[in-house]
This record gives sequence, C-alpha cells and structure tokens, in this order.
Amino acid sequence: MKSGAFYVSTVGKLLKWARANSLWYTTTGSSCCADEVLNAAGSRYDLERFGCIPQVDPRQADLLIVTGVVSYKVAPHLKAVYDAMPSPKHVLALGACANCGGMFAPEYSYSVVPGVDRIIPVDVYVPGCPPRPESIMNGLIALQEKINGNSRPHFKAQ
Amino acid sequence: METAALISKLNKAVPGAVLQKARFGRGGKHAIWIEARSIAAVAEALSSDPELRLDWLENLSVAQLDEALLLTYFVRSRQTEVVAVLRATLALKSEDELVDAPSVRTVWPMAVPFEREASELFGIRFGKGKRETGILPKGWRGFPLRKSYVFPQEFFQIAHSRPSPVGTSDGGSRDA
Repeated sequence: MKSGAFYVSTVGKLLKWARANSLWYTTTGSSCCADEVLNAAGSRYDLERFGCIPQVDPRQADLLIVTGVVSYKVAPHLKAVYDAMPSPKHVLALGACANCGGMFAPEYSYSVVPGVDRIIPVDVYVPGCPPRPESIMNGLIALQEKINGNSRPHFKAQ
Repeated sequence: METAALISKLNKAVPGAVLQKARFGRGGKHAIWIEARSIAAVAEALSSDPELRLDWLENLSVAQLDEALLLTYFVRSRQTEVVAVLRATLALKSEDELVDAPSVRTVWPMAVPFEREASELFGIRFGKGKRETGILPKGWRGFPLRKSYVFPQEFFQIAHSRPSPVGTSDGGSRDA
C-alpha cells in the first residue's frame, strides 16, 4: 500500500472521527429554543458527553446552532459569524423558526427570514417548537453520523 | 381626579384642544380625544399643572383605522397618582407618504423610543427633526405596519416566500 492511500483512508477516518466527537458549538440565542439548548447542555442531558462544548468565539467553533428567529436585520451579522468560523464548519437549524420561519411565516411577518438556509448552508434541521433536548441530541448525533460519512436517509427532490 | 375636571383644566390651558370624552376599554376609564396639532401643548399643560403633574409617559401606541392613524398616549403622575389616556388621529394622505405629528419628547423624554418606533413602522414624522432609524434595516422601503403595506418578493436578495413542501420540485433542494 502506498503511503498516500494509507493517509487518505486511515488518517481521514481518524480526522472524521475526531471532528465528529469534538463539535464545539456556538449559538445564536435568538429565541426560546436557546433555553432548550441550555437544558440539553445541563447536567440531566449533558451534551459534553458527545464532545459538544459551548464556545463564545466563532473562531473556536466547529458548529453553529441557530436557535430561533432570524430577522432580515440580523441576517448579515449571522452570515458574518458563519464566515468567521474555520472550516470544516457545520450548521444546525434548531426549531421551526430557524427551519422555515415557523409561526412568523412570510405571509404574516415582513421581517423574519423564512428559513436560515436562505443565508447559510444547513447540515441538519431539528424540528419542533421548541424541540426537546432529546431532539437536539438526536440532531447532533445525526450530524456526527453525517461527518463520519453515514448520512441518514432523507427526502430528495422528485 | 375625574376626567371631567381634567378636561376643564385642559380647556382653560389649551382652548379648543379637547374634542370629546369617550369610554376607554371595558372598565370605567375614559379617554380624552384631542386635536393632533395640540398634542405638544396639551402635554406641556398636563406636565406643568401643579395639581396634575403628569410627568410620566407610560406608553404610546399607534393603530391604523381606515384612513387614519390613531395615537394613544398613556400618561401617569409619579407624585399625584393621576392617570390619563389621550387620543388623537392623524389623517393619512397616501400610502407611502409621511404624516406629521408634534413631538412630546421635550416634555416626556421617555417618548423618544416610542416615537422612533412609531415613526419607522407607521411612517409618522414627530416634530421637525430628522427621522431616526434603528429598528428596520438600512435601505428598507415602506412602512410595514400600515395596512396598505405589500410585502416585496425578496429582501436583500433573500427570497421572502414560504419554502416549498419536501418532495416537490423545489423542496428537496435543501437536502441536496
């Protein structure tokens, strides 16, 4: 076996494993889903056992958790936070508002972006209003599986 | 203090400012409807009267009636416990034209954030100073809380529309 092949296969797997199990995250606590992230990070659910450690600086974060409403005024700042994160970086859209605008649907709200994926690429969508900590953990595990190359089945365009 | 006594004081201080007394809400309260152009003079009179000393603007709310904006001032005194509700209407000229109203920020400094918010969302120019912005993003067009406001199709190159259901021609793109 050539040394290059060994590096790509084995070291690549090791890197993926390391990245998947050390998802340091920063959040945009813009609504009540942020409380559920706090619950998930607390002692009962203990996100740190998945390697998820909260960070305040996006430059030290691998994962951006968007927890709630994103208004058009905030959108450029959210993009700036995402751009400040070093690659490889991931985004978790948490709750109905971050996924699609939620109760602030574009028919009723003039100021809310109908889904954070209009601004930055999203890796995992966690539904709920707000999602329970179990859902958040499920989303993080789905992201870890995706980083490891084992994406769950999902809907595709027909 | 009874509303009738309040009105009689106002009639002496600012003649012609009071239009009528009307019931306010389900309780026994009353609102005093005043001429919109006399708002500042009425505020000054209520604030400087030694028996009233209405020195605290609790809230300023704005609502749109058919072709007019309804301003409601909730005023309270921190010394005499007197409360008052003042109401005035501003006629709308057109859908996208600013409406002028006197500012009360010199009498009640806490009116600044209320007036700024009403100015941005309803298109009211309070006083003769420059309109301040802070709530809406820069470059925003229109007054979003007016009934005539039509949502544009996109803001800052972000499509303002509901995502298509998963499985339709557009809906799966986010999973690609």
